[in-house]
Amino acid sequence: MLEIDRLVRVAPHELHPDLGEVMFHKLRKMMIGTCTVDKGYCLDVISVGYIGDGTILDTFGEIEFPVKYTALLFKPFRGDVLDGTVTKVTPSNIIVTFGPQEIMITHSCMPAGCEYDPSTNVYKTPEMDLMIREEDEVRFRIIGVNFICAQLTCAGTMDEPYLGLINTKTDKA
Amino acid sequence: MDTPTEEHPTGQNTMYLSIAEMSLCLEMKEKDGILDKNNELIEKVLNYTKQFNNSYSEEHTQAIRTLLSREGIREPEATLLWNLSPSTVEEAQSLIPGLKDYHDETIIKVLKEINGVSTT
Repeated sequence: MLEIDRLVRVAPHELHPDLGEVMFHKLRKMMIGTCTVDKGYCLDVISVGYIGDGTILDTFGEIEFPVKYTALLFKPFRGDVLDGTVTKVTPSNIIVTFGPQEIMITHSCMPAGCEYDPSTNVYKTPEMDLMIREEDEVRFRIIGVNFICAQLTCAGTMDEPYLGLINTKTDKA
Repeated sequence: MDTPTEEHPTGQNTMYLSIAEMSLCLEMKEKDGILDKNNELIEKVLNYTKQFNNSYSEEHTQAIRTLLSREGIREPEATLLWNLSPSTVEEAQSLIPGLKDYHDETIIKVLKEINGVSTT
């Protein structure tokens, strides 16, 4: 959760004695579901705190207020270790989903010894003691985060101690 | 290969929620009927927290949060430690390098509390 400063514009017909309530609903409509490079995904607006003095804009007659509000955010940080579910397996990489975010783990960042088997669409070691397939739960470290086309893209690795497979889909059945 | 860790913002206006706390928060909103499950983002987060929350009770979630605050572990590291629930100090410090700043006894105490009532 983070307290954020923002300028919010309110049209004259939206003004109401309970300006806090107006701001709360406006912010929820504006911010939930958005993604920015510095704050990540906005999941919810929790509360509106300080509302400053408004300034009338001479273009459309809207009033602009400086507002402090608390939001619930989701942001992946480079270096963090997280758990997720494998959603796609390809010859060059796997895609793991954690919450609203996907992360790509390339072949070279798989656990040591893991190779792609095209006949079963699975990554596995020659000894067959480790197999990674769709719907398995894995632990990975985020090694890169980029912001492209209003979305966050992540790259990760499982080639470190204590990373890799944590639950297979057969364990969960 | 050591991945450089991105700086986590901290301050009195910032709070990091664990998966367990997030799960409780979303469950309460769902029960009160104020959770917008038509929102794809919220649905994905709800499913993720249900899958990875380790089934902590509300009371135990509060107890863990109290302990983490009392032991003085920085919030970003404390939250990661809670989410990952490692078994040993070595594993914890390998996954979260920032924990090397703390005494092993502190980490052991926290791990005992986190892993003590995990039902997975």
